[in-house]
Amino acid sequence: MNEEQFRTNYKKAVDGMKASDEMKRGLADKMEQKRRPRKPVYIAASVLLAAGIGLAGPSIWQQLNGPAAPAQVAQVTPQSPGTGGSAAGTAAGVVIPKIELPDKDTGASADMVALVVYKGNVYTQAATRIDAADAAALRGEKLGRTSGGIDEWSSQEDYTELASNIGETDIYAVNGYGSDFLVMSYNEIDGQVYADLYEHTNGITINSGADLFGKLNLQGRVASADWESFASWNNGLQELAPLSDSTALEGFLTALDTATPLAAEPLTEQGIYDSEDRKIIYLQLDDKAEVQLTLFGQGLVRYGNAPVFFEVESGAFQALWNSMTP
Amino acid sequence: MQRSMTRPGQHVMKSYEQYAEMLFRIALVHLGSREDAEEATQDTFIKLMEKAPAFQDEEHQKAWLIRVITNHCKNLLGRGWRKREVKLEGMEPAAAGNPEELAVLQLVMAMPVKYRTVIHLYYYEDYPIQKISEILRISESAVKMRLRRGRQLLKLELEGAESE
Repeated sequence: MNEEQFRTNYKKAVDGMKASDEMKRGLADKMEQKRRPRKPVYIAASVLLAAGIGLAGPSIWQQLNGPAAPAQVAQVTPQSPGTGGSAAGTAAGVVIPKIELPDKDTGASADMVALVVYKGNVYTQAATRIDAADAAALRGEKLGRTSGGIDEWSSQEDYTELASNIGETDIYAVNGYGSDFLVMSYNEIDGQVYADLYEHTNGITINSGADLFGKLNLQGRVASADWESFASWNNGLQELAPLSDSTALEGFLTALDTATPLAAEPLTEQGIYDSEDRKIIYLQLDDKAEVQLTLFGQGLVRYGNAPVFFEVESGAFQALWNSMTP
Repeated sequence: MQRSMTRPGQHVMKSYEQYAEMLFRIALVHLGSREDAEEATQDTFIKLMEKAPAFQDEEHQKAWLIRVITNHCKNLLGRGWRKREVKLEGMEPAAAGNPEELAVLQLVMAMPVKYRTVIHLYYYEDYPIQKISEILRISESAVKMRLRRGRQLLKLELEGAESE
């Protein structure tokens, strides 16, 4: 297919997508609701969930931030390990199952993230990033070249060694990191470097923060750090401010290693993402890699899309959280 | 500066008439579900009402809306390996009459999200690379790379003068 044929067909296909009249009516309703003063609505999902799985005891967790933020519409209650979900908690920690494709016969499909198969494991687009200019210094030994071939409708058998959905590109180890955790795609085209990191955060058991953050070796390696409010992030404003309290940051990073892992699915089902009580921190490491962490006001931290949250010791979390003020 | 309407929300509905279909299509390409795309579009206009940013001109507003809905979709998708029970829901009927059109749509939907946005803005909205870079706030080099990878995944044969 040539480019112009694609453009023409794609435009025609997309032109046929029309929103329904209900969308406009729904917007008018939502706008009306927003104009009315309202009290925060709390979803009793935690109660329902607890009842459903026979939990009778009190929550292991308390709200850290007092009154809900104005935009907050739901509160969540991290469950103790064992509450199930795609990343299931066990007495030994949170088990993140190996990524497997959905059964094609059910008609289900999955959202595609950029991925590479290496040594039988699926490495997905990393929450750690590097600038192209710094990639060469981090590039380790060549591990192979991807073959492409995976798409939304691939079956499990298509996940052969170095298959990917990012086309054909060279894959390298990353200096300073284990290739069982992090690999890099690296290309030089017309003198320009194109590099991305891919991480293996599935098919593993996480017993504490060290099992994930230890692989990034954060402590003592942060060269600079910034934070961004949710409002800025959500609106693409990129209004970053320096994290000026280095003591609070060091304490937080230390506490990360002993943080308690919690399966993500129960928390997302309870509406943790419905709250805007979030802040994002960007840690520039001494090797120029940038690690992004999302902090939730309830005292939780998430790294990328790994289906696990970490409950950080409250004093260390709160000290960092409180240092991030506009 | 725009936005000097007498009734709160009036400017939002005016913007809705102008941009709703465009935003809905972007959301549909990201989310693959009519219901989710309509909700994402509504949420974007709610943000416009609540944040009420001052825009320099129409293009500035359009770019803001595209960036907001793109981030909103990424936020939704980032919640996990979200399964869609109905593949390309709401998209087949539009392209059902023409297998080639449906095929290209399916090819785009099969791409990782970060390539879809750039492909859509370049081939549907006809934005040049520099403009996509401004809208998405990523480097021109990143836009070029995503276009290159996107074309590779779509197996496109490039024609004539290349705009990169």
